[in-house]
Amino acid sequence: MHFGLSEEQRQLQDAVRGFLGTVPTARDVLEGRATADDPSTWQRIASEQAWQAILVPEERGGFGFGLLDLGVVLEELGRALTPVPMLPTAFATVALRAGSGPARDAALQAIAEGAAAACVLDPSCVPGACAAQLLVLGDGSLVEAPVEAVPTLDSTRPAGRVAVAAVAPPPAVAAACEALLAAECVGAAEAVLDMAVDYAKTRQQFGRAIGSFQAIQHKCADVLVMVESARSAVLYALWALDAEAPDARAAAHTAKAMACDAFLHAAGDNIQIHGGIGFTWEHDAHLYFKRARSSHTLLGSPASHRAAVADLVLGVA
Amino acid sequence: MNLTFSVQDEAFRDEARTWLEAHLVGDFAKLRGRGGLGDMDAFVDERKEWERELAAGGWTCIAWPEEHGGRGASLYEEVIFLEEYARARAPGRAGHIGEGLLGPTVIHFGTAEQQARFLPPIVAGTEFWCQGYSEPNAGSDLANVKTRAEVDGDDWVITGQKVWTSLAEDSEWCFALCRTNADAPKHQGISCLLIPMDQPGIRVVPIQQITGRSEFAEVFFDEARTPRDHVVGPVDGGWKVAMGTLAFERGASTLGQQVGFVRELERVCEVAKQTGAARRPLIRDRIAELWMRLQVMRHNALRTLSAHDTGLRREAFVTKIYWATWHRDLGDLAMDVLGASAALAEPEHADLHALYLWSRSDTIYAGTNQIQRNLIARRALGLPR
Repeated sequence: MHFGLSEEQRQLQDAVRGFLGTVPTARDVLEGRATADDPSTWQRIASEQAWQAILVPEERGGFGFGLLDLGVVLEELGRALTPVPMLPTAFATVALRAGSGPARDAALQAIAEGAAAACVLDPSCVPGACAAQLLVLGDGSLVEAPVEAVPTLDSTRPAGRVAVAAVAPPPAVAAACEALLAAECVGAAEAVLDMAVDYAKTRQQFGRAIGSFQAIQHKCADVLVMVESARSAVLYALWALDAEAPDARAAAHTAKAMACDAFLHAAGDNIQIHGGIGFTWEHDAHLYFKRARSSHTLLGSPASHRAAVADLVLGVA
Repeated sequence: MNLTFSVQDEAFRDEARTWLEAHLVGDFAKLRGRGGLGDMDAFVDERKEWERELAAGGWTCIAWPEEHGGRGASLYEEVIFLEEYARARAPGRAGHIGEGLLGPTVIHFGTAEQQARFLPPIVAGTEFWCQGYSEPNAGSDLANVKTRAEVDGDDWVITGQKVWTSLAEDSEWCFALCRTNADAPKHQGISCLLIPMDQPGIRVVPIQQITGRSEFAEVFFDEARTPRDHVVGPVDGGWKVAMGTLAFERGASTLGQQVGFVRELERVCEVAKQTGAARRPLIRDRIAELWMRLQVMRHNALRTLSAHDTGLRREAFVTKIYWATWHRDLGDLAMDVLGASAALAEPEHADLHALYLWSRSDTIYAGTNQIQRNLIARRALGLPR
């Protein structure tokens, strides 16, 4: 019995954190010093870190590791808000893994070798579609279709409109995508909590640090409860999906709902605790707030996941 | 991540389950599901008899070291026993204060003489304990205790009042925080005394709760006496002892408690289906939300247990506020699924009203939600005073 990351996964976490200090940030994108989903950054990740190969089976040139391992990477990408198309490529890989056939095998091989990919789950807004060298439908089939860049609320996560009809993913694929997105949300939620707490420790008003006021302390405490609970939900969901546990589908709904609620709440409170400075373009708080809102919507709102859980618990109404 | 128990742990689970099934029969069968929180005043004498049955089977104080009469059970064995105990609907433990609070305190802080005197009757289920911590003016501010203890010859003489003492009328002993030095700063003049309850200087007055039941009492000390060597830890050093007592809970009990929570949520779902509330989207949303939070409660607990040897981490501070808030929300939901009949006192829904009313205490006792937030802010997040 051990509920938590392994030693190897902790080392991976450290390695990811270290590497992310060397690539352009969301702030660089915002100020025009870099481009989101930039191909040269992605090529560096592919050749130096090979995160895109984590989920690809060994016989297709990947590592054949699990969702929990990739979740470690995504959590760190969420924490740093690094603008690279890892999550879209992961969605595509998950969809491809669930299928079979020579075209899918070749696509997985290409991803392992560094092709960025995207998965068309909602054709009106496909994250990573513009940078993708491979487009995959929900059932894992490959598709070639025109992609039109769409402006996004979260400018650090570009998306495209794809002129193709959606194909619903199998439940296990949908669940895996939700859990991976939830992992990213937990990292980002913890980042904004830490940001708020650090600020509350240093910002002085009424002659003392605002973090000494219970009104601020209790806000931060509530966020911590939400973030840590979301983390437990995400760890369990990723494990349950890897282990094909009977409650994996419900666990993914839970992870998505709780991580997105925690992130949105944390990102909003971070702005509130920062006061006026949190409302400025020059502060990073809005980057997280916008990512939180778009992740909330992507792959279904928390309310829609609760509705799905209600169907599992109570039967369909 | 590895969420399976070892073969030895599963064998231990079988042993516990088999024993409980074989012994919760005859006169003990009626105790199933009784005597828990909200029902602690039920079948007290029978539950004390059950303690002796447990003792005979070696199932009291299993987490204590063997030299003190326990089994030296591992943390996971403790979890497994508590889960099986709850699954069997075995009765609320009359001996839980001795086993879970006073015993570990004496093992950690007590003298060899105190250990020899007080531990064996707890293991045997022959002496029961109550806890004298809270006072009318020492609730969240526990260090504000005013109950006085002064030396008189070979005795301490104790005068003052304790409150919210469960099992006060049914205990042989009370361990109480007393002011032994009025001149010292408030955290440095407290001692932890062991006081016999059966004496003229002690009067117990039950408190009637909002549920109508009386599970707690006020305890009045009017020159009550206890021998001078019945102090645990140093004289005036009782604050550290009190904090130690509260820290002995290793995080195992919440997993046993969750077995009951699962049952309560199932009951609310069943009633929601009967009343038709289960078809209403807002009720479905809340049921799903509570279902998810209950899953997470288990995963938080397993995560905390897995990290127990690496010191208290952020997630460990979440436990109390999480389950207390969950349970209170379940109480609210139970009323809403009843709809209009929530206002009636129908016998078939008495359990839901009891849940609704009792759960208001969950966010108060053992550290209010507000105190929990203070602890999280200061100790987990490092925010300043």
